[in-house]
Amino acid sequence: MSLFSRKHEPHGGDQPILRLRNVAVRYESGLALDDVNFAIEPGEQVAVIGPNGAGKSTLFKVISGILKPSSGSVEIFGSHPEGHICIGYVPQRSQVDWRFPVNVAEVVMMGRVGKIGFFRRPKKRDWERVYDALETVSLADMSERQINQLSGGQQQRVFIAQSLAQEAELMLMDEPFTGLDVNSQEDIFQVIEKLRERKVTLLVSIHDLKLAAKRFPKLMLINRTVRAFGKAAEVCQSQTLLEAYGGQLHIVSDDSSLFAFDQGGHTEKELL
Amino acid sequence: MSEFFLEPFQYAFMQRGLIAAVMVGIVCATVGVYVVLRGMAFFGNALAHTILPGVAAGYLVSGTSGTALFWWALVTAILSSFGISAMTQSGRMREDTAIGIIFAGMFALGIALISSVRSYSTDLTHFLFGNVLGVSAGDLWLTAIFGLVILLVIFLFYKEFMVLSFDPVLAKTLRLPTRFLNHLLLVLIALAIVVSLQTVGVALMVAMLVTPAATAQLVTQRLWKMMLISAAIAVLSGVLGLFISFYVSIASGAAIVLIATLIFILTLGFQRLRESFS
Repeated sequence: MSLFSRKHEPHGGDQPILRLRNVAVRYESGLALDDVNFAIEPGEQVAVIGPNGAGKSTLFKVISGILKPSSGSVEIFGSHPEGHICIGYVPQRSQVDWRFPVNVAEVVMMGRVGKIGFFRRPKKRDWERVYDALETVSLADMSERQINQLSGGQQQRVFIAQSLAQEAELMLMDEPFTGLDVNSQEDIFQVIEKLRERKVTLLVSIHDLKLAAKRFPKLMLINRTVRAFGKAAEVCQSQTLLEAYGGQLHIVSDDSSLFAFDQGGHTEKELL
Repeated sequence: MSEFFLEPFQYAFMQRGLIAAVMVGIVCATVGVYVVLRGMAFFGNALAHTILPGVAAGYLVSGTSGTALFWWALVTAILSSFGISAMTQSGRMREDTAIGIIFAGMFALGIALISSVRSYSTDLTHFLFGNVLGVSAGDLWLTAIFGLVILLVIFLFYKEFMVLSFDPVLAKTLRLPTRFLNHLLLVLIALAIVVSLQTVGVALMVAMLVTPAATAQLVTQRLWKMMLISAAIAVLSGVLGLFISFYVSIASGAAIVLIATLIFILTLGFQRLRESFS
């Protein structure tokens, strides 16, 4: 019965871990993504930037296979995302019901539910994975805590641990730094560093341009389509940014650095 | 003292009523945990009301025989739950608006059907508010069998329902059969409502689903504990409610719901008090 057994597509070969070809997503309100093409190699860590409503979350939904593109194709190791349970989606904190009656270890264990399978309970091996993941994100001593007793940064790391327990090879993080203080952000960068060592491929959506440009080797600038994709220095060329952000951003460039302002001029950001 | 507790249960109808109240309490309160966690209180209330025309049709065809009505209610409840969920997912209007329209329309149809019969007011009262003391031995068997099936399914799909309720996106990325699981949960809610129809009736059904579970959520932060505590509160409400209805002679369904509500208010008050002192 196909309902109760999930087949997993093979990994490896020389396929990129992620490839999008001519992907378009049309909502009733119009095109959210159009003609998106790119490929990502295993182990790459990419910050996805773009103005509000640029289609960052739509892009993540399409990649994780929870939304089918209207046209074009998404391939994970050369096959449809729906055949893979190696894609971890780390949600934005605002999307989670923190009052739900579960503790930290249980949330992390949820990442293993697909692997455990129907009518089975978690085994010792599953719990070892869970505690290993909690160790990696430095939350091992918090495993019994109810999730609403955690700080914002800890909450974010619980969900990264969940993806680790899932044995995700491709992780999608939706605005993990939003609303966090600098120390909590640093904690997450430490985890990201560990993910790099483990060759976990990572896409992180970030609206803080400066943070993205300073901390990620590769940037992808999107606004309905991929406007620029490459090294931070290339992507942050003022003309490209300006075009992608339209009226939402003003850019001032001098010899050594690049500044960006949003429309009201409230947030001044030194990019490079 | 023991006489006070034992006296009501010398009567066979009180014994059957007690068994029904306990079973219904456990089943509704356990399913109700998911109703509360997924914010489906309004859906549960509407679903209970939409089965009235089915029950009414059964009543017109086969009279008030309990077991026949059970099957009429069951078919209507499952059809209604799928119907409502299909309509709310079309995205043409707000979910609560769609539910409101179906709920009131179906309820009116039920009342219209029942009102075509001469003795309609007493029978309608039983459908609306339940008649736990009129439960037959056959009804008890149906309640027991379907109640066990519901609890078994909740046990078997515990971790899947937990993921689906906590994080539907995760459920999809783990490639769980989310459509199947969602429909399964709807069937469970529909079944729980049908099983409880005779004990609390259509109008107060939502209280059985929501109140014990909401009380349990105040005192625990683990899902399985929430289920156990919710069931315990429902059983306590059922037993106490029956006693009160026996001695004070008020409607038993209303008495049960009032006790459950009282427990909720006391728990909430106690918690607020404790918070303000800590």
